[in-house]
Amino acid sequence: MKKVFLFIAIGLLLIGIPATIYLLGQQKDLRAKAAPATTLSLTPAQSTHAVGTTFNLNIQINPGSNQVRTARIAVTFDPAKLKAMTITNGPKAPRILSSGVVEQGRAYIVVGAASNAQPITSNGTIAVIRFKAMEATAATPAAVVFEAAPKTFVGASMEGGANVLVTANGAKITITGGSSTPTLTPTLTVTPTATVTPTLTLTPTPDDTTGATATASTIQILSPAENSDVTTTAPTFQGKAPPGSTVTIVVYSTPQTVTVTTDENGNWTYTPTTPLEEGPHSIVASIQTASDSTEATSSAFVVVASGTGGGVAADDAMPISGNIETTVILIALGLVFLASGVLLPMIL
Amino acid sequence: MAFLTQRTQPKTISLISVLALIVFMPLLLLAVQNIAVLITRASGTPANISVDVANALETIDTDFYHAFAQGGEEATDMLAPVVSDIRALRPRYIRLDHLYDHHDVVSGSGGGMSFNWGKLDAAVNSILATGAKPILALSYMPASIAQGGTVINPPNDWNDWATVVQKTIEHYSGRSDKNISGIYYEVWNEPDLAQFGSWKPGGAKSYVTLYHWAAVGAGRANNVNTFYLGGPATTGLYKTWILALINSGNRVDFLSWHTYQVNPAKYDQDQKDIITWLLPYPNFTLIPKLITEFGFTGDKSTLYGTSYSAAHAAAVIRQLIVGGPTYLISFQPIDGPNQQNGTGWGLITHSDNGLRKKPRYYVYNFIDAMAGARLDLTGEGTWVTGFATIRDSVVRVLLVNFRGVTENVPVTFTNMIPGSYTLRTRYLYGTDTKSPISVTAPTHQVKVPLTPNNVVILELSKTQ
Repeated sequence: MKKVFLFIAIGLLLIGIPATIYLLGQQKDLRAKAAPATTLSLTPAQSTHAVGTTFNLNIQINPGSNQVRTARIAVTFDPAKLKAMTITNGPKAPRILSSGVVEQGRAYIVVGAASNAQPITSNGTIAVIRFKAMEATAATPAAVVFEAAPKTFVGASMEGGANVLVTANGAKITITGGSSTPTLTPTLTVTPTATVTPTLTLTPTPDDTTGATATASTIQILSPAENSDVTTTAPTFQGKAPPGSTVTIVVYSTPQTVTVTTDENGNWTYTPTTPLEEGPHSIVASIQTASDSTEATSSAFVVVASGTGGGVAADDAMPISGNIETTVILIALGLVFLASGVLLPMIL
Repeated sequence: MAFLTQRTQPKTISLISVLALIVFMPLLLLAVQNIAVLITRASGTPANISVDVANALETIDTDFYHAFAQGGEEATDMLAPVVSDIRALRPRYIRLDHLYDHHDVVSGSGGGMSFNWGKLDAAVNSILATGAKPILALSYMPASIAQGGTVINPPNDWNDWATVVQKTIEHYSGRSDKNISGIYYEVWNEPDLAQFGSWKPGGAKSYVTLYHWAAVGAGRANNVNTFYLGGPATTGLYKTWILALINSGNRVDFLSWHTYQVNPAKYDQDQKDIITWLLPYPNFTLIPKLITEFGFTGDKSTLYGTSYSAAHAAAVIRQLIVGGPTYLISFQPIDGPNQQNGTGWGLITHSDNGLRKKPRYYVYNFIDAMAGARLDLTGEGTWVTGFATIRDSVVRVLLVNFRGVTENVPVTFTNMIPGSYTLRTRYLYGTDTKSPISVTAPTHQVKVPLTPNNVVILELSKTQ
């Protein structure tokens, strides 16, 4: 009987020892997998750009054996040389967990894996920063570097709250002198021949009976002034154009189109027959020039109801604009009476 | 003076002085306040918007704000009269609280506990009829199991609370019952508020204990579809509550809080804060975050009936358009009764007040036009904020003027391809116009008048 127990014990030992060794090995592997092993790199690591150009730097992740769930990325750079325009996530990190911020010399964002069940386990781009080259570099390129931990932080499964980032490789940017893109002056050309919603088609055909066409770019809107408030729903529009020319006027927002002819002094006026709604509007006045091109000018204005002091949505009890005279008078009166109250007894 | 000295008693003069002080001091204070407000308002920065049309960024989500929370101002199926109006808002989720105290679900206790789902089923059916799924706030304690019969108290036996939660989940998520998948079960509603029990994240009346037994009940639920259990549904985002919950060892599928703040930037800051707190807890960084109620104030206000409220919602959505919560839940679809004074939180007035849609009702679908890939937009001001997108080569810019003064906003498009374009200018309140523009250079500027508390979408499409 004792021999039976001995054999059973030996058998258990023979099975148990390899099993224990195997399980310990498994745990060791698991632990090794969870150890910090992630690398972040800015790519390309080196690049050259001309002043005024924009370019992207990708933030590549190599998670090693980690199962990455979250990365807080913060990079710094010389704001005299570089300006960060945007920062967003890359395809390897499909979620933006808090919105990216670009500021003087710094950009940061928090990105994440799709879900806990789909961590980042392979190499790829987790974020993209768009830069503008601002000033030529001298002998030393401009450096873009990751901020030190914990500001740059990579979180992963099976590692508790540890930062699994082990290496962060920055980038060197060489900026060459000269501007690649000339600054262009914006030009607004209103072409009043297209269809205006809902059904209105603007056809600024000159009045043939007058035979007059404009000879210079002299179309002007004198009233209402740009961005002014108008306190009537039927304002009178006034302007200048070459004498005898036909001026096409389109009043938005519900379009009203008319043509008027300037007088011998080049003045034109128009008062809408349909009252304008309260709120923002604009007027576009155009003429045909001698070369058969169109010249136009516009003015935006706001129709405000008398006494509402501003917008269509005067929700706030406090006025959003107005004069200060009443307040000054009140203060002056208050001070006079206060002074009287304090000083009179002393004088008397 | 001599005349006055001779004719007037000193006591009379003092009396007049005191009266003058009493009368004019408030006027002086009022005037000073007015000046302070005027100076403050004048000190903001006007917007000067620039949009880079050539640099598409991430695709934005236009679903997250299609979610609504109905409060319990009536112990009835409040959504029933407005189902079709709410369906038109394409809600993804609708939250309901007062589950147990307004719907007479639970009777008895211990082994004698019984459940009557009739009233609650009607309310949930109304939610489903809108096309939404329910978020059920497990609140408050059924009187039959609550200490002293008070619904904001702990139960006499925590196992009874666990059973209530288990039965609720089995009823609505159960494959052999209502068979709804994807329900969020939120433990309680505003537990930190005295009105709802003054629970704490620890101590004698601990929310964590309340949550733990809810999680025990959720764990017992059998044969159920996927569902989410979370909390703490506090009146604001509080670090101590969030950390207490995620460190409790209980199942936490989502985190939730309410935000009633005027400042739209606060909402974005909250997102940054919670992610910062959660970074050391990688198991929780990616779980859903829900703002299960939001508004510019938790108090009733006539401003909820005006464009102010709509502009606030738009300004908040703008702040959360990147890195926002899983759901931003507007409070609430319909007013309670007897609010003819216009102070209700609802998007729609109560049936005793005409079932009228208020301005905020229209803002959600309006913003949906912005679906697409985000474009870089800079130059937001103190009051006018916005974002830009591109979809099918059409560039769109949303601008909202929240609490500002009227601005004629310069909007500069950069990296344009010269040619003929159509610019559609569509105001939330106002006109919808199209005008042709000719772009002759890579940079092109238009000016957009924007009155206070209005929202506008510019739509720029190439015609040639």
